[in-house]
Amino acid sequence: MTENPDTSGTTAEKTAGEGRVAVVSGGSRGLGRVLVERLLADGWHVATFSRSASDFVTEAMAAHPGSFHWEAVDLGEPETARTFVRNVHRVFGRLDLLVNNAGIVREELLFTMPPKAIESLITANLVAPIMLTQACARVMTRQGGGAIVNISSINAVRGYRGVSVYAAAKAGLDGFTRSLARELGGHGIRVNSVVPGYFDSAMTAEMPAASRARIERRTPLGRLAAADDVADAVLYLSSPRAEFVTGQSMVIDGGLTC
Amino acid sequence: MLNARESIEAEIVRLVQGAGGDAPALSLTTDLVGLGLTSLMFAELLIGMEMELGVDPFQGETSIVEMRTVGDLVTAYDDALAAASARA
Ligand SMILES: NC(=O)c1ccc[n+]([C@@H]2O[C@H](COP(=O)([O-])OP(=O)(O)OC[C@H]3O[C@@H](n4cnc5c(N)ncnc54)[C@H](OP(=O)(O)O)[C@@H]3O)[C@@H](O)[C@H]2O)c1
Repeated sequence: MTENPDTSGTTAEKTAGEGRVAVVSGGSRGLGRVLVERLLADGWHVATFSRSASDFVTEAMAAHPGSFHWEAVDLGEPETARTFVRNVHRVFGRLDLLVNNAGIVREELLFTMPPKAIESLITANLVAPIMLTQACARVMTRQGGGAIVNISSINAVRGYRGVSVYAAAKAGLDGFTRSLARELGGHGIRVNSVVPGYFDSAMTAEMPAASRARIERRTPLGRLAAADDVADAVLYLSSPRAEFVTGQSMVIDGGLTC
Repeated sequence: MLNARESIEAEIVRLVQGAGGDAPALSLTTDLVGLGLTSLMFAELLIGMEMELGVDPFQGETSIVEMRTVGDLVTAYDDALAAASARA
């Protein structure tokens, strides 16, 4: 870590990630955006992608020219994830953290879901994160370690109608987390999942008020999560405070599934 | 063009010595498993070669662990390097 004469709290925090490099998939909005903002504020270099640039992406590129990198990548074409990681390595020279955050949900009964839609949901939510992880882990092992955090969903641990395919992909991600933690532990790479309940984002914007009220009623802590609640867990698992934590799934849902 | 054979042989020697063995004499017909290469050493070889040569020939159905001889590896990397320079 670099020497810093200013010892105020914010500056100490700002240097927490100094020089370290994070890849966050889907950083243009929602949870991904919150993670990008907080990692940048902590002094990390951050690389992210989404299918299209948002206003936030354009602003971040202007505000952090040396420490923020964005590319257009579509998880529907998982091989392109490798090229992205190669570019990140070229730009920033190392890689310490991967957050597999990007995801898409499609709510529909399995009865009527077109086979192509089933395939593309599994590709974007499971196959692409696995390919991205493979590319990042190869870089991490060369430099002696790193951390990987997969964003799952409580749909992976409890049944909900209309999301069976999405749930299958997210449960797959949790299984991937555990087995990969065993494979990579000896290489100094920790792998964990964060399992969010519902939080406000584009993904939940269309939720009917009645559903929202029902979730709040059933949640012991009495509210939906904020993206920041989920980001807190991701940042903990990415930090040295979690250096003895691997292969775990941490549920952040205010107690909804307890 | 980059010389795949030299890099591959140097990496294999490094891996075998890293595992406590003597530097092996290598030819194109040398059997990889006979050298004591484990699945983890194959992984290190793959990652090392990707860093050094900038190509990974094993992105299709075939895995690096299916390679039998030093010559198999050299052919796979030479082909991938040729394909990469044809693209560039
Ligand atoms: N919101 C919730 O209540 C909730 C609950 C549990 C779990 N989760 C999980 O939390 C994660 C973040 O969710 P969120 O609510 O923040 O999502 P969001 O607001 O919909 O944002 C998703 C991000 O991923 C990108 N993305 C989506 N599909 C992509 C694709 N095919 N290729 C590349 N990038 C893609 C989006 O950008 P583009 O659209 O431009 O590509 C965007 O940056 C997801 O894994 C989600 O499954 C969310």
